Amino acid sequence: MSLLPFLAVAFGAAALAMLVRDYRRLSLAIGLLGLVSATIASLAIVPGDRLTVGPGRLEATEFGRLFLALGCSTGLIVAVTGLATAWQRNLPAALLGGFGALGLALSIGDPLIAIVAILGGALVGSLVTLVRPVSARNVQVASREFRAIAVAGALALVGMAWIARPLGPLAQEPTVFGLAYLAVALAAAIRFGEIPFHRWAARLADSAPEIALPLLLAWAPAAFAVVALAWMDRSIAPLLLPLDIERATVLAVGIMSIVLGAAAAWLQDDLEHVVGYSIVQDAGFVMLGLAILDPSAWQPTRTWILVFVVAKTAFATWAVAVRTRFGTRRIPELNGWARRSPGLAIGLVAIVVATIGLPGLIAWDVRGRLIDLSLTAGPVRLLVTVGGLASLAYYGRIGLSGIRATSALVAAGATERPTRPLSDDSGPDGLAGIEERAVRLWRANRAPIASVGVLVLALTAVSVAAGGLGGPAAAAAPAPEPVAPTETFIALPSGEPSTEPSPSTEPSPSPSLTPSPTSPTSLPTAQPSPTALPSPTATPTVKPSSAATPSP
Amino acid sequence: MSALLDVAAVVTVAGALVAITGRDARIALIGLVVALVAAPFLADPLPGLSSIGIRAVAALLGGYLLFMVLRDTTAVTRGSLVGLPAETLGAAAAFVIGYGTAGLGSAPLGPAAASAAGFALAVIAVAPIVRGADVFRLGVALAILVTGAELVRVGLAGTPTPLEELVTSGLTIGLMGTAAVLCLNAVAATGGLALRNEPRRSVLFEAHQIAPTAPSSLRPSWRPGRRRPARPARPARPARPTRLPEARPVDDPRPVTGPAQTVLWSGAGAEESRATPTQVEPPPADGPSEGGAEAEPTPTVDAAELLAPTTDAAETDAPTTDTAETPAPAPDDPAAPEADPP
Repeated sequence: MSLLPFLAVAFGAAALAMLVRDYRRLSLAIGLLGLVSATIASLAIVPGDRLTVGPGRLEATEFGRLFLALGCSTGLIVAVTGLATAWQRNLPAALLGGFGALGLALSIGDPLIAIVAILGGALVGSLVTLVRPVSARNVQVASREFRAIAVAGALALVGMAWIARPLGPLAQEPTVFGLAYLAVALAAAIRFGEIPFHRWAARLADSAPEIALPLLLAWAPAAFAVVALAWMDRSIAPLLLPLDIERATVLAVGIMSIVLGAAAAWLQDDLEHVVGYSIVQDAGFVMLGLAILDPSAWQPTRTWILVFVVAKTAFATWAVAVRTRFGTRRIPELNGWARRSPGLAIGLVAIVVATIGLPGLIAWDVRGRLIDLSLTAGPVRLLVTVGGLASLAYYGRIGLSGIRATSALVAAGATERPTRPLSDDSGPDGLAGIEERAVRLWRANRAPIASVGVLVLALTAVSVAAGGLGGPAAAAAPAPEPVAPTETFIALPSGEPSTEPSPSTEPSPSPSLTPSPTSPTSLPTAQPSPTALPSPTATPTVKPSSAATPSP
Repeated sequence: MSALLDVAAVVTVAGALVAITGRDARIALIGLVVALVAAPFLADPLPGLSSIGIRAVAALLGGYLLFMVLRDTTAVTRGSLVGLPAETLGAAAAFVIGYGTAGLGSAPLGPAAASAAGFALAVIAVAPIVRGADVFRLGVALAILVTGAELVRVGLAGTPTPLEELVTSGLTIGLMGTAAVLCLNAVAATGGLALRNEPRRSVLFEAHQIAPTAPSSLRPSWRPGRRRPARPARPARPARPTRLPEARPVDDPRPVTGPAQTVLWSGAGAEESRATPTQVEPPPADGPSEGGAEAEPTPTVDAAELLAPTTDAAETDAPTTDTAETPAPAPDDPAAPEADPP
């Protein structure tokens, strides 16, 4: 089982790094080596490999492999960049423990167990929110995150469990499925900090170390959304139920987050807040994907999740590099940063391209596709389209400040040009001397090292946004199969009437938030979502129509 | 089997009640551990012995993580705002509702007792989660909420698989370990488990004063005839010099604003009491303090301080990580001081 080495490396290195955290250099070495080993182990995962654990089973998937490889590799770059900028001692251990739990969750077919594993991973990751000197504010922010994680997990757990059994006559009640769907979708919204559940995320962006924001606000919630999407695709979507109110609620959360998140990011002067709200905004497209309830949303949503996590990781790291180099994170005080740091300027342009995309790039296509599938033509669709492009406003504001006349703080910042420390012959010889010279070389070149880290992350984001690294194919791959059918609907005894939606329960067209009908076309690389098909042992009491069949 | 389920349900809910209502954090922790150990027995058929064992070990390990923090603190929490009787009645109502609605409209795969206990645990956990002023109580409430959700899941979907029990055990350790880390940092930041600068409630229902450190939170405060014996009289001590609010001329006709009583309750009338400065004569510099032998020495509080609004500790703390106002610290490497929790 190829997943086992990854889990062993991730959990083992995380535990070891935490145990020896009083020995800083040893803990750091274990953490970084663990991230390198975890990256290699994740690349060695063979999709389709299965490991039986009692009556349960772990199954490696193509998407899980790419998600973990991207997570561990970008986590390694973030950690190295953090060493050169703003270090957080718990970061490698939290990354390893978090990705270990996410890897476990993404390989479990039963969504109930997967959600529990994701909860555990998120809790491990939340430990990086506490920084020294400890203040009541920091603890309060961390406790808010703790609360959001636990409440969202409990909500999703109950929502999924409600229909994870033979429902009998209850299967004829669309309300049951609607409430379960709403519970899970809103739990995902809480985890992402979507508007109006954004308060804890905003405080977190203010208080937590910037270097930890991608793990806290992007990676762990993204894995939650992947599991939620798989559950919806298997348990809700095939039934073709008239869940207009529920879908409209989820759509409203996504639309508010896209539009208001962009506005909030544009209004903020603090770079960390801009990063936080940009994450909230881009996660709105994930909410659109959760609102579609159609197999055709499977691939675009998961592709966007891959683009989203890598691009936001790059943006957060860029903000850390800017803050530590110029000593401020207020945009009005950063005038001239681009003149002083062309490497960071290139990195920001690459991040913008990866996030918004260009026509022809996968990122651009999947964003448009998610809007097409979730909304019919009308003013709301126009609003969402404009809202999605509104991120150009805050990126543009940051860029404009970079080409203005250089401020005093920026002028005093370190240069990006690599420098060589002054040679000092009075140092020790031998191994100690080499170590000392290496440390001096590192300290003298923190700025270029951070810029290189940002550039690598930004280019990785562009690569994923362009469809590289096998992202679309991995996104189209099926989720792990559960061992036993845990779903929802069983065959009614013969003679009972079918509950095919009657014309009276047809969704009525709403002027504002009407979910669009399934588009017959799909992305060229789109493949049918196998999880959307009911398992052979489960027969839906609601007869699927032709729209439920996966598009070719 | 039915009797075991009923006993397990009652023990689970009782443990959660103790965990939520206890003012002594150690007793609350015992209640939490008892609830978490009893929870896996709420399944029909019972999970395997190894599954139950690993859940119990996880609960004990998580409890020990919290205990390591609590043994170094005063371990007094705010306790339940509504009191043990109200919490018990609420939990009982939720228990009945959960029992009566087992399956939520369809035949459940698990026992009704699990649903009932799950509902009760969720109701018990709501108030501290919404209030959230005490980090220990918040952590305990979140652990109870997640356990309640798992119990509802067992009641609906049946006995968990060993893999799920294993993952749930990890989650239990994660929940309680996170709560322990938060408590540790709260103690380091504020000296206690409470995050907000609120006076601890010292009077229940305007009548029954309790000691600052409750000897046992299991004892209902409304139970009669359990008064503590009076302490022996202590010799009078010279009064501490009292700081006057401001220097003023001797012939100033205005009354002197001196020490006032500490606000001992936060119920009705507390705001009015805070808003009215007590006007007393300044005590003699070397005279004995007032009050009999039974009276506790009241800390002298300047009336001007009483007039000051009670501010949230979170608001008064400057954001330590914000570098907007101050220059950012120099980037560091692992050999230098760094930012991390203790």
